[in-house]
Amino acid sequence: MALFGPRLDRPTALGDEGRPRATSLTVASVLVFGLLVVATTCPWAWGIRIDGWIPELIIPSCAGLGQLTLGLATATGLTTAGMALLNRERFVSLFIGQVIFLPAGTALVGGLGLLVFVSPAYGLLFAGFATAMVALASSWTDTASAESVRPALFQEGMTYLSILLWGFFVAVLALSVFLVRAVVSGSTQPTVSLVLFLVFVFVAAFCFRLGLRWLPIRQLTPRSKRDAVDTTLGRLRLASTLVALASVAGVIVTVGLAIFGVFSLLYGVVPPVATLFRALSTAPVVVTVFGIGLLALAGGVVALLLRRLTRPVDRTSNRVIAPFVAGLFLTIGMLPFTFSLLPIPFPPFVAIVLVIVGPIALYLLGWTLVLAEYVGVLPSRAGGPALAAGGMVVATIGTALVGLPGPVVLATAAVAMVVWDVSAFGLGVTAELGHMPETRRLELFHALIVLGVGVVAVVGLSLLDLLRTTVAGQRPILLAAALAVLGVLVLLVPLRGYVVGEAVD
Amino acid sequence: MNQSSTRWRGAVAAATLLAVVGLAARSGALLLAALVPLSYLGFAFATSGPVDATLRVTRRVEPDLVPPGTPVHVTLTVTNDSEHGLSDVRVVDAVPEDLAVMRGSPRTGVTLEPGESATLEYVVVARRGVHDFEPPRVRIRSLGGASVSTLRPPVEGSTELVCRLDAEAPPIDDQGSQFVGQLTTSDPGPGLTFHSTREYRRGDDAKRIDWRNYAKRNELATVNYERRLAATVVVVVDARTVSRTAPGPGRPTAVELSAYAATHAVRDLLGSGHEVGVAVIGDDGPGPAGLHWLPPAGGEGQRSQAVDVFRDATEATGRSGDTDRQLTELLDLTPPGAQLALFSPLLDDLPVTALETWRSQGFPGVVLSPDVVTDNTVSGQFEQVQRYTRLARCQATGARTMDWRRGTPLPFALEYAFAADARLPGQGQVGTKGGAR
Repeated sequence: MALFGPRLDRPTALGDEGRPRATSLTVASVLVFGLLVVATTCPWAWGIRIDGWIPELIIPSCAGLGQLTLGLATATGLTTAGMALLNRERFVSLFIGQVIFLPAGTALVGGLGLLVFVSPAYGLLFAGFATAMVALASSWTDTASAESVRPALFQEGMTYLSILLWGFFVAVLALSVFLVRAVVSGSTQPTVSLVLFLVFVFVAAFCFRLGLRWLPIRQLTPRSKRDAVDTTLGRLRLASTLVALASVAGVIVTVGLAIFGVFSLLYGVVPPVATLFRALSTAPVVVTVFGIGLLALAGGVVALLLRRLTRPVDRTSNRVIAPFVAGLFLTIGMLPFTFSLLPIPFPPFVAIVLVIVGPIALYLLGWTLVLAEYVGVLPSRAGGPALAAGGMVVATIGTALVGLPGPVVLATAAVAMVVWDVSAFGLGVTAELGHMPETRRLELFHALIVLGVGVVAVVGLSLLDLLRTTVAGQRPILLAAALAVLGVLVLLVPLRGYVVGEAVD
Repeated sequence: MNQSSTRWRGAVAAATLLAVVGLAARSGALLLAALVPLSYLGFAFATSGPVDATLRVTRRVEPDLVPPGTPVHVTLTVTNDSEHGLSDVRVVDAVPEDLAVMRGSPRTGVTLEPGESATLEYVVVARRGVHDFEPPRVRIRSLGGASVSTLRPPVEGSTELVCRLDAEAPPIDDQGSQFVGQLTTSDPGPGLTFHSTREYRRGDDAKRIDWRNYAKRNELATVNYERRLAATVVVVVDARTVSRTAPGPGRPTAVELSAYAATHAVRDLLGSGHEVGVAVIGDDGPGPAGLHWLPPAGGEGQRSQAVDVFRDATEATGRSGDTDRQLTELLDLTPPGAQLALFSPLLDDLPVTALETWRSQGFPGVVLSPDVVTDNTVSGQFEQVQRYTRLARCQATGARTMDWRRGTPLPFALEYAFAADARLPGQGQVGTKGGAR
């Protein structure tokens, strides 16, 4: 049952244990997101001031945090969608997965890391909610297991390397263009002009040769004319090779003759030759020579890309080529765009560090989760729910440290438990009954029971909190509460056999 | 069997973490928050324990006696006969291992009030044999889902599905007609279907006089019917290894479907007074050259023997016999003028070659090919194209060829394959013997 558009996971009919039932996940997701909105907009502080005839809405300063909620939700959604797409096989899916996973994941990890560094309390609050949302979204897309995270991390690593490679290539290319342009515009020596022209001819011939190799000229020719086209293509290949070789030889000969002073003699005897050589490195000639080669190369690259996009699914080559192409796209398109959107207050070096170190941090964080599942810290069949509940526990600590009211802190802790219980219950239903039977009533009934327990606990403990903050002194009641918690934990020892065992029944 | 759920160990870790951080940060709210996971743990502990439940389970299998390939509807009803409600009941019906669920699900999860029932419905495809339905597995959880009881309640109603090749075959005496043979020709004579009228001759049966014509024109005329002929038909079932293919898990194989169609054909032909012989190729049988062979004969005994032979064919699991030798031997055994009816999925060229040989020897042929090729994959579509080519080649030999697609009722396919056969130009007399009675 898809609630929010097309599903990103591909469930099997029976025994698909990775994804809890939709109703359970809906309950968990709504609770987490609702609590995030409440915690970041502090509705208890809003008010209405009636001054004259027109009532005025009093918006507290803490409500400004709500602006971050949208950004956080967008980044978590894009990260999860990217991770789900990176588990696909088609080139287009992998490419789009790369393009959205790496920037969004980097922004999420980098932004939260920065927030923890700047303000630990708010950092913990948002990191907890972000973890919970990513975990729940991954459960929706059935990518919360190490088996799904590993290929995404592999792809991400490849894309990062590809970005570095393309960045280096683009930098070298830009530098070359800049240098050539400087030399062309500044050179008045006819011999230098001739050498530059020969170099341009070599590059253009090489590009033309490559473009000729990739362009599907023969394939698009009618069968009756293929022999003639083959002959023409052979001649063109031979000609371009000869031109390239001749230009290299020309450069060597020109340099040799220039050393022996032959050109000075020539310019003295035939002065128009110097003018002719100078004209060889003027902009119209250079653009024409380069244009032929670059047009052929561009056509060849487009043909190659089209061929790749329309080829039947080849998982291995797609997983290698997609990061390579995505790296080029991110280098040329996304990085300048990202830099242009960076917030002004941060110094540029922070942005550069974020772009360079962010993907590495994302990579390491992903592998930590994979490792956590391998060593058994995260249950292998219920990684998503466990991570979501863990995130909400961290968010509970964040809400307390930020200084949000006691009921909100208690509600966050209760939601952590509800998220775990409801999601684990949904996983159990999926594992036992599969996706086919209708179990909405069963899940809603269970969710209602668990929510009821949470409401009773929150209300009871809120009253206790009220008692603590109003009636009694702060220190003695704190000590009493600590002793109570430790006492309950000690009392749990006899129940050890009850609480140790499988994560999901 | 009763078990306790153990999914709350994370709650202890969460409580400990919150308490430690609360103490370190001197936060009373966090210390109180540490009690929240513990309250969930307490609730789970309080509601755990054996779940007392009385369930009544009824199963209906409709129909419970079927031929292979027939969809069978199974309905399982679970009723809560306890005096209290059950918050979490998960039922998984025990579908026999050899059967596959085609539609619906044999599983459900519900909450049941006292006296309330839950019904699950699903459809399985019948395969030959007797399939026993075990009692369903029912799991009941306590209110908080903390303890689980697994039950195997006894089932009222149907507990087995019987699938037989001759499941729909009535006794021959009930089915037979007073005419010899069912193959009709273009020649006039006694029969059932109107053919023409002719001048009355002395001695014509009074029942055949066209009284309406007499009333109009005052002339006596006699009605001619399409003459019905008796035939000798040898039913050949292809049971080679290549034909023991099923379109999916739990579905009947092509051999089972061929045997089922052959059983129907034998019943119809014997019921119409024809003599029927039976041969099974592709298995190591007791007959000559390893054939399963039953010489042409008529009567109830022949039908039961034929069904036995087909049953042996469907149970064949070993390697194919020397099929070429079997086909050569079959030609020797087939009496002159007999008609050969081949039941094969046509998954390779051998049946087509055999049919071409039979036709070249002057034997009329009928081919009925059950379709077991799935065309939802590229290789399946390719295989289907090849099969269509083989069907076309069979038709090109002059044999009556019938593609028995899934979903087409078998009686229609058989009627098309056999009853109309003798009407084909140039084939009317071939393969028939005797004459109009």
